[in-house]
Amino acid sequence: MVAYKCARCKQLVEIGTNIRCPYCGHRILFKARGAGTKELKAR
Amino acid sequence: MEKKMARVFVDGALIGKVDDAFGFTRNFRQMRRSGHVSTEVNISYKDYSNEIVINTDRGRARRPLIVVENGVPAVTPEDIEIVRSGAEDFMALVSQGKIEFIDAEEEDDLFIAVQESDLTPEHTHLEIDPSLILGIGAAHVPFPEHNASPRVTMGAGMIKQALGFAQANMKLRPDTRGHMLHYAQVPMVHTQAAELIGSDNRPQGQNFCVAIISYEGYNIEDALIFNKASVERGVGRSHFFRTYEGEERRYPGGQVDRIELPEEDVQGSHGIGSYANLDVDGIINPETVVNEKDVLIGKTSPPRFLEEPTGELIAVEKRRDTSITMRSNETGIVDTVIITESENSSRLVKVRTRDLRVPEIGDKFASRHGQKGVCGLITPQENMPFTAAGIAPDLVINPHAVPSRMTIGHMLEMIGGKAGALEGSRVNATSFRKTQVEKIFDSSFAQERLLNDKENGKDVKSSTLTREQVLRHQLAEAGFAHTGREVMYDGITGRRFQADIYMGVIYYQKLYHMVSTKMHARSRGPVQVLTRQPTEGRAREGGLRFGEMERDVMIGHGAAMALKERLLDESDAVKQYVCARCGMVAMYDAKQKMTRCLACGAETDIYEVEMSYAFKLLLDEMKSMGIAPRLRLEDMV
Repeated sequence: MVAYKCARCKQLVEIGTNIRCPYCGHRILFKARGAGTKELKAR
Repeated sequence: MEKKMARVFVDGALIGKVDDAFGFTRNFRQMRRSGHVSTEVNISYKDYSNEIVINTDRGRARRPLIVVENGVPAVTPEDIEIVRSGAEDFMALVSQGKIEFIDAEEEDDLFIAVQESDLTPEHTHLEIDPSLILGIGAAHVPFPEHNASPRVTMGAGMIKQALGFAQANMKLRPDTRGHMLHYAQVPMVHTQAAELIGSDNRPQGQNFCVAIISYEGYNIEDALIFNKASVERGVGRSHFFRTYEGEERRYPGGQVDRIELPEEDVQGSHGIGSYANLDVDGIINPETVVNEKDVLIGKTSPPRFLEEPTGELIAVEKRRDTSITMRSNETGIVDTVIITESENSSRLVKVRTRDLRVPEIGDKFASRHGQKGVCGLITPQENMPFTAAGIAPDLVINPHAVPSRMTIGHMLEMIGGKAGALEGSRVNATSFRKTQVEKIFDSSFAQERLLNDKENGKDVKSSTLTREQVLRHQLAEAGFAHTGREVMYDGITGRRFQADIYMGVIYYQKLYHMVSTKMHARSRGPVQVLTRQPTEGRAREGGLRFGEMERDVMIGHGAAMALKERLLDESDAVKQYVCARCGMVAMYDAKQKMTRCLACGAETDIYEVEMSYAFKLLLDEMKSMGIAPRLRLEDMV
């Protein structure tokens, strides 16, 4: 399941048809950053 | 002859006439100063058209000036003391008619003194501060009165192009595009206007240690030599942000876009590999490294035209791929992914990408004195010139940049920055300023030290030193040459330079013209649908225009085949069948495998002719207007 984070209450939420935080009703959600590791070149 | 009555306009509308225009205007201003007319109204008498223009509408830029009567300013030192003590505010002076806000129209009628010492009985107004004659851009330039005026204008223009720390809520903003400079610093040498505007809270540059010396020819034509160690420590480093948007639109008939992982069989699919970065929701994950044309938001749209049912089975509608992809020539890392609802209550996804921009050859930098340049070389610190103390500059500029441009302000800022850095204090370089000597430095410690100094046995305070002399004095006090020059050694040979090298600290700005956003070349690529000529512009992977003047050069050289190659073979060459009898474009009937003229039929002479597609288009457009262009064919020699 894809995790989203409410921009206001910072809770992790799941979304259905409506884009809305089930806890605070806020309509702006951020896609949470994955836990996977990442390799980048230092420059 | 008696003068005609003057027409009076209020906000552009004619409302009447007056016979004594001068008297009317004078009385009007008197009434404004005495509070009988609003201070927000401006009046001007246009002698050449015998019109009085009164403006009261919103949106006029107005600026405050001190009222002068009989050569004496209305604002007295007592008034200034009262405002300074807080007993009254600035606007009290406006309502008392001692200071007026003047718009551009009324300014035409006035005689404004820049300094109090310039006042004569003819003057009507006095500037509150001489530096207020400059606009916001020019007011940021330190020591502008020492520069040639075009350079101040250029400096003012380039300040607007500088990257900096323009917004503090960068993490949350989904701006379409934006830059952010890393390690932005407040300028060592600054102006009062910049301070009042708040530029110190949103700085847009860094203090560079700069040496003025030629370097192996890599800094000719205003090129800049950067110290690689400085670049690696963060000089001129910035981030570029761009936000991409995708929305689930609704169409008439209940059709909707869908943000999803597109199926393989959608029309116009980017290919299965392109969607590898997408999550199951069809949206890319934050912190994914993305390259040009990579898909960020997977999206499908309904077909443009609903298909008719064929036979017994209803045709399965094929959705179109309308995924949002990275622009060509742009790479980065996905920074933030925002999912929200648009004003139509449909799903809206915004993906912001970031791209680290480390200074590279071709990036543009400028000081605040119109001294701009492009990075020509980033050289290791061990190859940079260095001082006896072992200091290597961050930047090397060419000595030829100075004499012809006469940017003495640039040289003074270098001395000022150096003295300020040694003194541990910022330096005030506001224009036309005759302040107390010690006020040149911001820090009270530096001010106090300066007051205790002696210049040729005299107290610095009581001397009449200019700002330049004070800064030179402080350099000498710190053990440096008052000239700003230093003994330096060649980093490559280790030999001492014969001449002493001018070196100092100066504020440099990274401008948003970066080579990575401009670099472009094309071998093959897309063509326009209408003309079949190569597309135009970097964003469309376009060709480089071979224009009329380039054409002239080729003709001048007699290079006919090279010209044909550019204008025809590498552009929109087509082979068309032409009917030799009627001279119209014929056709090839693929079914019958034969050529045919639509006017003369198959029994005619048809030849293949090479022409530009734009010419064929011209023939078609002429036909559409009822003109029949006919080609007369001849044998090729």
